Amino acid sequence: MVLGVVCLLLLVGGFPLVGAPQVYRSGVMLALGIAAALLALWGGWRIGAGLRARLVIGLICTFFAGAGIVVLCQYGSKAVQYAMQGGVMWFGALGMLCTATVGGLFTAIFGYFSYRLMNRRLWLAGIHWSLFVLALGSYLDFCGEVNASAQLPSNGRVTVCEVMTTEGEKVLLPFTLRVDSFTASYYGDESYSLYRRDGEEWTLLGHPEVMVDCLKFEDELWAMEDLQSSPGMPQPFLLLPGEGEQPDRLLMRNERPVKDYAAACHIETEYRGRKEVQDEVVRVNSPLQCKGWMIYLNSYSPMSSSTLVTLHLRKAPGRFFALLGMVGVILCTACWCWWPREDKNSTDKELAA
Amino acid sequence: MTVFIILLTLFILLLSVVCWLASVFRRSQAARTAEVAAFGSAVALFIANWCLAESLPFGNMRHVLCFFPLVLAPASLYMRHCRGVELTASFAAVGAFAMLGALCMPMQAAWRQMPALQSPWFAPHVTSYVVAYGLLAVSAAQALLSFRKGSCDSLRAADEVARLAFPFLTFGLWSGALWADAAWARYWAWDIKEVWALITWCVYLIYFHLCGASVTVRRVLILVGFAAVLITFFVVNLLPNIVSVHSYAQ
Repeated sequence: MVLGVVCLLLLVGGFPLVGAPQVYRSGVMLALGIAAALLALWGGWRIGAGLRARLVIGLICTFFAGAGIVVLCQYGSKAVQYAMQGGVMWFGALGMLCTATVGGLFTAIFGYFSYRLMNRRLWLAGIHWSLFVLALGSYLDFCGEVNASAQLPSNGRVTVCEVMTTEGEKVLLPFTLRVDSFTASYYGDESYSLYRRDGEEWTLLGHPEVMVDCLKFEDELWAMEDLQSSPGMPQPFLLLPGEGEQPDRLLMRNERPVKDYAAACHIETEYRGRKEVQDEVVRVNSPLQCKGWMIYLNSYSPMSSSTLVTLHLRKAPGRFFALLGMVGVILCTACWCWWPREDKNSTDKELAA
Repeated sequence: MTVFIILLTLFILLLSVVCWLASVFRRSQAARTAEVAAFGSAVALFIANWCLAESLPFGNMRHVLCFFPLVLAPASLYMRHCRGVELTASFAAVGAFAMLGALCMPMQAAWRQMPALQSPWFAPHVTSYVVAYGLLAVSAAQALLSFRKGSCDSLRAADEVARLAFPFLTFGLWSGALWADAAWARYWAWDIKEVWALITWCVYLIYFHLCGASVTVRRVLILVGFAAVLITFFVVNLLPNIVSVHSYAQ
């Protein structure tokens, strides 16, 4: 029933009606989420009845097997990365390979125990408990998550140790942070847009075709060298005469699509009175971690001599549980659906029932 | 290259139709041959799309639709050999519809992978959804057939395929949340595409919770689930004026 209500509420939010999306952002979904989580905990408890010790040990073994896979992948890829650099880095690669092997052994040993201990029914209970862990993590995040942003120039001159949260509170960071450099790469595409002035607004007429050294739109041709640069304009442009004497059309080069961008960060922390320095590169999709904080690269905007980098700082107390729950749901669902069935006709029996 | 891709898409459509007809008229050898040929052509189409896109060809709906026959043929093989369920006709029909859809989509040249999409999660996230949607389409086809025949065989097959698809659907949904955590500093944005993906997942969750329900309820739930899949995949992407953080999928 709870699932049905969740579905109905999601349906209301799933249609872009005026104000409807606010339904699922309100506290109703939170209350339903708590109800669903408690039901999942109870469901897992009921399904695992009589085999709860086996279930707990099996899930712990699965956790270690999963952790082994993560170690194997992470350190294995680092070993390859170091080995490709060659020279002295081979020693580092060997160290990483040893750690990856330990991860592989963990996976093999705990995977075997997990295979022996678990069955379809226990995996089903595992899905329910994973959903509870996921909800617990989300609830912890809902209660204690801190989100803040920091805008830093990429010249390394500004250091922050305090940030303003999205709620407007000042939070002291357990580290100091500065951005030493910023790099952005772009795709090589060149594209242009033609606009026409309609009163105060510019309307897009279309995108001229790029020829060898000129641009073509319908029957008109313009030489690329005629495009001018101006301090106020972000890209080269050309004003074109319209029907009257005043120019009423604008031909402008589009900004090239961004391929990748990264910021080199310098983080200083203190450990037992000693200063520790961490120089790392933050990219989109690969945030940095420091003393319980996650540092994300959000966006950037060019300044006169450097780039203003916007970083997002986040402290999520329930992140571990949320991630564990998500991985658990994926793994347990796969095992429940694909685990070999003891009774091959179980589906027929279910259907007959 | 564009003409070659269109011709190849047409060829796979033709092979899928041949495979479907051969299966319906119980010419299993011809069906298998057409299926293998369609799979080989789908590999060639995937490579051609990759060359044209200059990147992994998951940039728009045409790319994704062209990917369907590539994953459906192994799934059909798996169902036949490992689960003992012969569903070649349904798989071929879904492949044909996917190719028909791909032919209706505009041909776009190179697509540019924005920084947020350059993640190790990208390929597995999209692939798992394609596999899940393809399988769920087959499951819905079997559920529809079970209405016509009035037997439990088709519904049993529909259930088997749904059970094969559900982990892929789950992986797609939660891997998206894991990816969003790394890229956007939040697991969930209540974006319309995300909401519909969650609705789809919840409908199948209800289906699995109601394993003791009547045959009709189960059939209807499979069809409702597939309707949710269609809305998530097509309607949310193709409707104009919808603001979504997944707008690059349009």
